[in-house]
Amino acid sequence: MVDDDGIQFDQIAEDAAVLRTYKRVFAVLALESGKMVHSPGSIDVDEAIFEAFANADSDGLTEAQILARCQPAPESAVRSRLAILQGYGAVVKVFERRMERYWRATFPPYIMLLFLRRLAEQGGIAELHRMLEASRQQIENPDTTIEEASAQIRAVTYSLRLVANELGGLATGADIAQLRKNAQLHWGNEQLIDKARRFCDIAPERFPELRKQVLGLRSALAAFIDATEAVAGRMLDRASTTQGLGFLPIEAWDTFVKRSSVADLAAPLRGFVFDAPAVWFEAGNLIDAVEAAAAVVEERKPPPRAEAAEPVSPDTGRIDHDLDALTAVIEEILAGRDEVSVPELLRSYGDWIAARRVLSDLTAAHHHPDLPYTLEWSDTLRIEPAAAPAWTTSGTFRRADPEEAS
Amino acid sequence: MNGEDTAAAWARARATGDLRLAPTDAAPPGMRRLVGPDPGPVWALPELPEGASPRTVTDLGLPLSTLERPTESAQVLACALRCCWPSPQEPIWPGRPARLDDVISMYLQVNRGKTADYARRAVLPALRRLDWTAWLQYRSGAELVRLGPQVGAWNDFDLNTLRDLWRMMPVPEGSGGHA
Repeated sequence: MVDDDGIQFDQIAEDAAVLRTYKRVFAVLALESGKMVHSPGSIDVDEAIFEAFANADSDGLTEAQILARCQPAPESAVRSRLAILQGYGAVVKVFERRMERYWRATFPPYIMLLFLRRLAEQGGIAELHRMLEASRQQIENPDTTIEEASAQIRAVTYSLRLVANELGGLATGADIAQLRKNAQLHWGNEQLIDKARRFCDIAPERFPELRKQVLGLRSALAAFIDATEAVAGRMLDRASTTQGLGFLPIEAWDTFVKRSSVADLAAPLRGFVFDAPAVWFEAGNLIDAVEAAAAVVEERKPPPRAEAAEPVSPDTGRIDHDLDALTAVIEEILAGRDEVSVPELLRSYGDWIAARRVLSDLTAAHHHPDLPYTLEWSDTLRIEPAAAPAWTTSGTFRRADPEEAS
Repeated sequence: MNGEDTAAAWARARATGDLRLAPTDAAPPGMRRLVGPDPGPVWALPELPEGASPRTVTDLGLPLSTLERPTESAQVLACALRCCWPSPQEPIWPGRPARLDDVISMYLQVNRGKTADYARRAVLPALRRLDWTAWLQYRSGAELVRLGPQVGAWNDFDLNTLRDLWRMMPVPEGSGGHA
């Protein structure tokens, strides 16, 4: 019985010590007894109180000194937070006696505050990084017992599983806004995964007995990786073509623009001075604008017609026209004759500039499949220096026989 | 009024396009008092030297600062001007208020072939833009359109051109005008 009592007493003492530390740690979160802190403002007050103590020497501070050093935090807030911290034993009397005026702060609540700050700023993932780092160091430390190692592995396993569960929920159920909000859970986790893998490799080497537990850790890690990829995949699906996940979605911009007042929209530019030139209307521009409106009316065009509706292809028309023109020219040259000598004809025009046009018309008529004319050249070349053109090949241009042509 | 106040008044006039004065206030140095129809607001209108007016920008071959949809805005201003300026023999300021419907039907006469619906959709936003820049006074939903203090900044040369514009434009349907 005595032994039992002794054990019970030790147990109670140990439990009480845990509870006391726990109470002190959570004092920074307690608003009143039984309630939790709602506003970040009261955490700021706590921090101010602890800073006041940190800057004081070991003699401690009186309440009046604390209040003075926590300026500019409101006195009533400091007073109420101080009462709570005192109630939980986070701030204790320097000497345990009645009428003691000096107080000092205990150290766990401040650590808790730092931890909370870090958690708020970096999220749980950063804590996971630290945890893995610390666990690896502990596993590598030759003094670590198998129980301690086992506890470490269990803690890491559970943390990974919890994160994986949360991510899994996000991947299936959350809308894009929530995914963005929780982006720190699933972005840039390669380092974390590498660390966890290395930890999985090291642990069984050091403690072969824990192989089975490490297996559990590996499966938790695999679940975490899967969940990360699922969430990242959904985010990429929803990202616009820019793939800029850091950008706000278009809808968010749209909503903001539609629901904001002019003052809200102008807020980012507060403090800038714009010296834009005033809008000016030149009197002449007004006339131009009014005339432009009138011109638009006059220039109304018929609606475009489909290609198939065109009755005649303009190309055919042009060719027919050319053919008629060429026939007219040739008949003029022939002047009723059936046959004409080319050199004589060319010389009759007097100079090469005019003659070459005639020659090109004759050649065109000869080559045209639909025109009944032929141009025949012989081998003789005549040179008459006085005439123009001086050099001519003899040839004849004549009407083709109708029989021959057909 | 000291130098600092003057600078502030100029900056405000420049930023807002118009500077209202209390009826008893004098205009800041370098500005003209522009009295609206009695009883009405009083404006201070910056009087810029010829070499510093917006016209200089055109002389330099640079684009003027214009409103959104410049042609449409200019057309609507021209329509409002024709409706609010009873006769080109009279000074342009302060003019008389014109009914919104008259301005819209004037716009329709200028832009032949447009529907009344189209005209409303073009004229109302343009009136708002012109109100922001003090060329006209028009409150959203109001029935009347008035000239804004900025029209006082047109010089004699501009006004001659505007008289030509006035004669060029159709006669308003409402209260009528004499060509």
